[in-house]
Amino acid sequence: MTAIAKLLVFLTLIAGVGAAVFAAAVYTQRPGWFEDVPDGTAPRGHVVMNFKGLARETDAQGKAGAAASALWGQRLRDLRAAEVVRIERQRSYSKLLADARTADTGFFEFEEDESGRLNVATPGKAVKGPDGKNLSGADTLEARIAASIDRVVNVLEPKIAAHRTAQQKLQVQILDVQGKLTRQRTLREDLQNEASYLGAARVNVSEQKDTAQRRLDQLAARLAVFGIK
Amino acid sequence: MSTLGKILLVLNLLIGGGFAFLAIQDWQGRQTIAGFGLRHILLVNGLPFGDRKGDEKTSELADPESMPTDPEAEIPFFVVGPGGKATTTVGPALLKEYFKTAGGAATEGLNLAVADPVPNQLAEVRRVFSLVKAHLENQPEGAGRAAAAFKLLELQAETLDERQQFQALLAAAKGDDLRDRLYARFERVLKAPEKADTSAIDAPADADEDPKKTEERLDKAGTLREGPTKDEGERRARLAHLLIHLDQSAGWQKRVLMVVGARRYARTVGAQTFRFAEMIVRVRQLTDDDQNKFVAEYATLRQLAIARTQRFLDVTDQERRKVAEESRDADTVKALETQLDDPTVGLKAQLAQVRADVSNLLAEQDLTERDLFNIQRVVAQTLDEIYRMEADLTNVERQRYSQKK
Repeated sequence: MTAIAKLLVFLTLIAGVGAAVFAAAVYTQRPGWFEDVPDGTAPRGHVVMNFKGLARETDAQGKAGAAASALWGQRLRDLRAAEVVRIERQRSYSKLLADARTADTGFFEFEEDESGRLNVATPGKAVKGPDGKNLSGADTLEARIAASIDRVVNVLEPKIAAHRTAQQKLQVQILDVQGKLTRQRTLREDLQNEASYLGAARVNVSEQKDTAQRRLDQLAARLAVFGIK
Repeated sequence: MSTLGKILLVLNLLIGGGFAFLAIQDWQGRQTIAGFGLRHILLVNGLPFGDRKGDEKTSELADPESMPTDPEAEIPFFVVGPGGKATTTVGPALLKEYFKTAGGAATEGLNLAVADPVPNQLAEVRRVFSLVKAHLENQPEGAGRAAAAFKLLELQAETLDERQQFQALLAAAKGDDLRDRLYARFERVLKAPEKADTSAIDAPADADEDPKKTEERLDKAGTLREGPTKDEGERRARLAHLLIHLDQSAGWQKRVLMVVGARRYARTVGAQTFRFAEMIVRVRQLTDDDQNKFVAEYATLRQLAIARTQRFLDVTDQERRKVAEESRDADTVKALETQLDDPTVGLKAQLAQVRADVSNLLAEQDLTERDLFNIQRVVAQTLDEIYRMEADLTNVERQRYSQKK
């Protein structure tokens, strides 16, 4: 065997040992993707880093995610439904409160459902007021009171005051006219009495005149006897 | 060299080549297995977060902000595998393969669920943020932008108060406010957490601390406790929360699951489910509160209405009395006017009649008196004549009859 052959054998031996060491190292340090860890041997919550463990974890997390996602969707629907219920009820409250302020029929009786919520969507009987009629809205009633007071204060009372003033003026006028009338009646009565008196006086004076005329005629006749005219 | 030596040399070379071939096969197989394993890990734990800084000493590269354009590039990708062995880089092909199934049907207006790969979670946030920005900036200001921003923000709310704020902003068509709130959520995730000064929470070094200092320290500690937690864990949770609740479509949910990992996804969805449950309880409580408030207000209004009805009855009664009084007064006025002004029986008519009578009587009296005066004058004149004639007669008779004697 030549020296070259000996060298080659030595190199081949070194290379073979090196390859064996490398192969052993690669094998011993291989990732444990396919290692099988029996169930229950890994600590709780620890994910075994092999295909089986990861597949199990992926499956478990996928199921957990799907369940959580389904529940999430259900909760979201419930939340939106609860919000819709609240908004609708708030609208009903607003309408009922508006009616309680302004409507002619402002108040209703409500029934409670099993959860203790009032059935505001379909109110019951109208509440009766002290007058036996449907109780009107508070603001409507206030407006009616104000209108009534306004009519009393601004229409009726001024009219009454005007009537009273007119009455006073008329009474003053009536008293004045009655005074004048009384005086005129007295005057008329006096004049009637005077006229009556003057009528009698005129008769007397006429009689006196006639008497005097007859006497004058008589004297004229007598004097005529003596030739005196 | 002998013939045997030559044969052995050729055999050695052939064995060496075969060994090299097997080694290459093994390495490729192991890479493929490692790639499968890595995808499994990614599916469970998600992509790397993407906040690793580079280190010159260890030649460690910083996490990239986006996918490199070079298909042969080595992307820093730190993921711990089996046996604590970490994968430090991956090729774009692996990520492309991983995200191949991530695309989904386009949602209305904005399609987030695409099959484009990203190197880490923060890169996904950056990608989505740029899409969201472009989408919102293209919306008309006001209601249009508000609706678009609200759609992305609605499910982000972690409390009912926050949700109601979003709803109020939508109702007020405050699109810019909603957009800013959405952007703030992105920026809160993208911005690296600052190290807070927690010295205020620690026990004081000086046992005899000044009371004023103690008060200031306790205030500061309170603010720290109430403020947002600035740790990595919360940042990851916020990232997952942000991405999951941007869009409900199945395609997007699948992509987010692949980005943040099934564990984080399930935990985040579970946490939000719990928050939703709390919100539902609160909404129901608020609904009950609304009812209590309504009942109280309704009862108050009812009492008020009853009192006002009674007062209205009193007032209308008073009005009726006033109407009757006014009517009576009006009648009285009419009666007085009739008494005074009636053309036939009124006082004024009577007065006029009596005055006319008086005038007539006065005229008649005047005539009568004149007549009487004339007659009396005639009588007086006649009497004067009589007296004269009697005197004449007396004289005549005296003269005549005295001569006869």
